[in-house]
Amino acid sequence: MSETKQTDNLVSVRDLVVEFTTDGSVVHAVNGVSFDINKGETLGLVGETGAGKTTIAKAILGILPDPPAKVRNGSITFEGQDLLSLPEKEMRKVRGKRISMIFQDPMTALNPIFTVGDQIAEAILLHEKMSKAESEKRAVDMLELVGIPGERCKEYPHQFSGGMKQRVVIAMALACNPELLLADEPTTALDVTIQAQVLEMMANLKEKLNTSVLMITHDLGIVAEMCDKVAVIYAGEIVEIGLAEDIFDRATHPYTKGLFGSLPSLKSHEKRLHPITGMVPDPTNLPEGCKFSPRCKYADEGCRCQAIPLHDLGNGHLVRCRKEGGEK
Amino acid sequence: MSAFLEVQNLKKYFKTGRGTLHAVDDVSFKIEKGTTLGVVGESGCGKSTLGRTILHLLDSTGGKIFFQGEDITHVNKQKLRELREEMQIIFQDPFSSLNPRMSVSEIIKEPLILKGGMSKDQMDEEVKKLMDTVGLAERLTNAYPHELDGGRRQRIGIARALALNPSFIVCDEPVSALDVSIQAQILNLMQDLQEERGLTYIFITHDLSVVKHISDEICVMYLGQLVEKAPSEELFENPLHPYTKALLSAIPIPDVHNKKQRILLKGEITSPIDPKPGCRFAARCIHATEACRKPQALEEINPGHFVSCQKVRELNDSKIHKEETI
Amino acid sequence: MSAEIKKKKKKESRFLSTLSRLKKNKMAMAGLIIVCLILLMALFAPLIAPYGYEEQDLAHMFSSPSSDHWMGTDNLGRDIFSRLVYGSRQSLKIGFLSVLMASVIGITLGAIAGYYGGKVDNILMRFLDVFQSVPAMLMSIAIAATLGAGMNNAIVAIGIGTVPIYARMTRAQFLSIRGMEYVEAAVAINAKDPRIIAKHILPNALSPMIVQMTMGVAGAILTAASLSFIGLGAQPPLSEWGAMLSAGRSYIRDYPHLVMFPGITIMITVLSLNMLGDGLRDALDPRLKN
Repeated sequence: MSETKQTDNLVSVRDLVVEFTTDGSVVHAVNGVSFDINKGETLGLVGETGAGKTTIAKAILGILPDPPAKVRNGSITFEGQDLLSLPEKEMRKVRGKRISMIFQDPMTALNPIFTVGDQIAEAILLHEKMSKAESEKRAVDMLELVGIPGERCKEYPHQFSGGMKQRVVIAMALACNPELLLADEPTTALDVTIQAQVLEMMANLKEKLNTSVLMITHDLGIVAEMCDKVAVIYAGEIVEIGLAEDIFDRATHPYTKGLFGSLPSLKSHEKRLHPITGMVPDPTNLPEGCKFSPRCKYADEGCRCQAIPLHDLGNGHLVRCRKEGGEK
Repeated sequence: MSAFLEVQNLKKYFKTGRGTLHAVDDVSFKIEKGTTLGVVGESGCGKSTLGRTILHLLDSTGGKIFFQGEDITHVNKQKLRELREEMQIIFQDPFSSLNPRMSVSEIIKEPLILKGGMSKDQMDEEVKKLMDTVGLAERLTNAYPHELDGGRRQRIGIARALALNPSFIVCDEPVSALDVSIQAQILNLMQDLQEERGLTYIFITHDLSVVKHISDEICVMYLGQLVEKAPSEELFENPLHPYTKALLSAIPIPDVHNKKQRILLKGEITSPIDPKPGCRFAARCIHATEACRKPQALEEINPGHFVSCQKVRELNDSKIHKEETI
Repeated sequence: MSAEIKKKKKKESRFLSTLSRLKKNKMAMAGLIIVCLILLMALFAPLIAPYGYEEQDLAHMFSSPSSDHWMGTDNLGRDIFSRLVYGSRQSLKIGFLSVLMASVIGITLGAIAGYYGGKVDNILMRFLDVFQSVPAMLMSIAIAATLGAGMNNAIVAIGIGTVPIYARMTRAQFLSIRGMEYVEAAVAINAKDPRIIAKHILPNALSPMIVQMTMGVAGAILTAASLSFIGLGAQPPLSEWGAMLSAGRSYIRDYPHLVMFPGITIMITVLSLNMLGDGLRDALDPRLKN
């Protein structure tokens, strides 16, 4: 399905480092993350709670609360523009218009005292020069695009169910035809049958509008379904990145393998799971060297004393492991 | 021989401002000792209410509950106290299920204090053992829940449930709030405990891959009703109810090559307040006909495989051949 | 063998850890020190005050602050500083005792209403509605008038007048905490109602109450002032801060020191109590432990 895709680069994140300072201790949330998203491409960002996924998305959108957050290093280039050095006034033109974000919880993302139509129209008016009537017409179109009958635009958020609200949120995010959509666990709060509807709709819209998507999730199933490329993130570092087929068929990093081993499978009849032992490290006190080494059964002294660079396995499949997952 | 736990036509209704909410409506099943019954369904299907009603944390509206052959639907206070030592619950949210003002040891010790008959030394010894059983390091004895991560907190909840040495535990989404790697640790722990202690579980979850992994038998619920019940393998290989089929097809599979055909449901779960008689799934079902508005009955289609759908034979002609061979 | 000791140690360590957390909070410590000083002042009033509280110096009425009278004298030639020192006894008594009474009754009622809900809740809350439809001040005056003048009656009047505030707060807290899973877990392990209320709900409901209580002390002192203004609170010549404030009101244009010093004293007391209350709330919460 990827043969017709253009390979123009849309966003490239380089060596992004984000820290949070609270009560004198420093949380190393993102530690040198680099990736690219091409036009029309979906990159899945997979990792566990606290791995820094949401922080990366917020850094791209420039909505990290400062303080306590601080971007220490790196660059985020969007269509040749460095977003990190863009003044807030310019950034406001990008945010919501060219890059928009869907948050996890649809229940709190909508203002309860305005109709959904008004909220979408307002999002449009912020960025587009058009009359109020035109924006309202556009809002109705957007609702229909996400599968909600246009006449419901006069209704208030509480009259919608969870799945419908998330559709409204998506309609709002797509209202200005953004080039990049940051979707932060967009279906986590939804039931599976509703999740299936929303994912299907997002996939169709992506095809139709050629939007690039950064899909943040902890669900490898969603990644398999939606993403062209996958970045596995652990303790603020990308430990493995590559085409979805490469990651799913040739997972190399012990952490990626561990994630797959932890999943109960619908197919196999194995009676026991193979979890990763131990726990995610404290982000204020990360281990030296490979951050996964305390939990890794292949780790030796060499893994613990030096920072591990990403290693190229070919075809853009990079892995941050000096043993290539214990095989060498 | 009677089943370890049996539920007959259990009902739990709630009175709300807008009418009567049928949270659990006419649910029946049996569990054998040492096995796990999975209960799956989407939010609002009544699966948590079902678990709490069995434990008498909520009063039942109708129906009967038998525990080890004894009718426990209505019991006096004394009997209820005894029952609760046999039946425990593990909660979903490891944040809200632990009192933030109590330390780890205080939380685990509390059931022992309430049961009585133990000296302080014995209790401390028992807490130590329990912490060891669930894999909590001893140095955490005086820690507070907020200092620990979700996985450890869930282990505290498990230790608390085990303290009274129950034979039956209702697990209400015990791993839903955990990350996958931690989730696997907890699932393994629960399976080990089941083997060691011969525990019987009701495992309530919305996660189908988890329920398949841990359950011997599975009940699928929709809006308070039991729509399908079958041994775990059978249910996943041969789902018969249209809702179960849609549910199974909706799970995203972590496999890039196997893009399956989805059965996309239209609409969303309707309200369980004052529902009309008949199949509650009919409004979203592509096969629904006029006959679906009549009350449906749970019917044994294949051995041990019960389905509540009047069109099941018509829809699954090819899959019910087993019947003739028996 | 050592279980007893261990247990004791643990109890102690919890108290100590609360204290050590409180110590880290500079504002709270400042509050604590000032409150302690005021308490000491009340305790050793006869040693501190240079004059008696009813000693009149008719030759020096309305005199400004001087080396003889540090804060000047009032309309009857009494030393304001001495009266403030003695007055701390009455004012603190009214403040603390009335809040204690209001919170004990209020929290009990609120806990019952919030925990049991249903009819009990309905009856209690409707009763409080009626009670609250009369302004707290008016209610206190009415009660004090019924009971008669005097310090103790003033305490009871103010205490009862503010019961609904505590009852409502407690009820709201209980309603939200009752739905928490740890309460359900306690039911499942056979905990009885009093234990659930005392051990699982109340400690988690107390935070906003502590702040309310410290503010309540301040409020009570001021209400007492109004009561004594209409002759229902502390009876002259007994000195009391609020009474001093209201007595000096008529001379505020010409002799502002008559109201200034009692005013400042009340302000400092209230402020330090609030600072202490805020700090105490945080120190008692293990979630904020560092």
